[in-house]
Amino acid sequence: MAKPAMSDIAAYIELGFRHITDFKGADHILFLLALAAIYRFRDWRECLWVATAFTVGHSLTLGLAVTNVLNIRPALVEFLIPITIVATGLENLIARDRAKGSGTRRYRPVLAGVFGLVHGAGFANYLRSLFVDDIALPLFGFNVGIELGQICVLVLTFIAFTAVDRLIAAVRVAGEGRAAPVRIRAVAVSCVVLLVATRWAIQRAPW
Amino acid sequence: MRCVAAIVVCVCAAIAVEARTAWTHPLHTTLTEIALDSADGSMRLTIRAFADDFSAVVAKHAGRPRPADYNLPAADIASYVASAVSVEDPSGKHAPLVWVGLRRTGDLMWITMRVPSVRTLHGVKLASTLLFEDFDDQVNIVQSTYDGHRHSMLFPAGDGRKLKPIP
Repeated sequence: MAKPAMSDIAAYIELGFRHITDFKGADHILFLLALAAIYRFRDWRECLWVATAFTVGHSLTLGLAVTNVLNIRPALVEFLIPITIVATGLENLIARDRAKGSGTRRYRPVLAGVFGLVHGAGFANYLRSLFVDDIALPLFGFNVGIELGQICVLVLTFIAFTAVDRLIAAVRVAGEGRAAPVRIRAVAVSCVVLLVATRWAIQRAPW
Repeated sequence: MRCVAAIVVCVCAAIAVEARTAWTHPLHTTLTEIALDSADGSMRLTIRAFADDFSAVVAKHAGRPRPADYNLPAADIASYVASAVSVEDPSGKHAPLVWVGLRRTGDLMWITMRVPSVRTLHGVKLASTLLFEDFDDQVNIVQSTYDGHRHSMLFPAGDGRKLKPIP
């Protein structure tokens, strides 16, 4: 069997990176937006930890699915993906005062990991079909690319969120509003995410 | 504050209305394996493509309706692949592809073509624009095995018909 060269793994890393940063297939980006919506720039470590839990979950399902250990109906997966986004958006809106409880720090990575399990099944069928004979390297490279892509998306997201927070703070100077800019932004982003993902869930319903 | 809330509501509504279609997240890719046949010095290309997308593009290229069972005449497939995969031999000349065969496994099509009398993969250049017509997020993987090593190249839709040397 031929030994893989560096160009081999680099190609699959690029493939994963392109896949996650493709704005045409916005479901992963929307999920990352929902995950990041509650964080400030200074919380980047916590957000990165949550995003990595998502990658771990999604790598696990991808690995199980491409090796035929797990076989999930594609139509069901396509429906469940927007459901995970809706659930994350709802959690953002419901859990109001995160500063009081340390529980968020524990359950959010678990939540992201579980939802990652669903997302991983999303493209498992494609990889399983295409790389029937030698899946290990493409799978590894693809996941590394996805993690790198997620970090890039999160960096851009935090830059945009910081700008939005400053804009909200500037508008509020003359007003009498009590909510913190980060809460206003989190609610706004979560509302957008909820509306879009609910629509997708209805359109993708398998019944 | 009310003004900000009104803007937020308007933006939310606009984005939700704009997201009319349920964007799924398919992986639009093909895999082309290249190897040198030491017996006759020809270069063998085996293309793996998803039957639904591939048959639709081939049918469009041939001016036929999309076949429900993905079955297409070999001549149509060969003609499409020859138009989408360009090969230059080490001397820089265009090398025509010759049809070898086709098989189906599950939802995948395996198309085999060859370039006669290449003798070496060193200096061979290649471009793959398979399915670029239909998907602007298409990324074609070309994998070559030579001297016991496997190399991969990517041909993304944005790159156009750019010939790349086999590593």
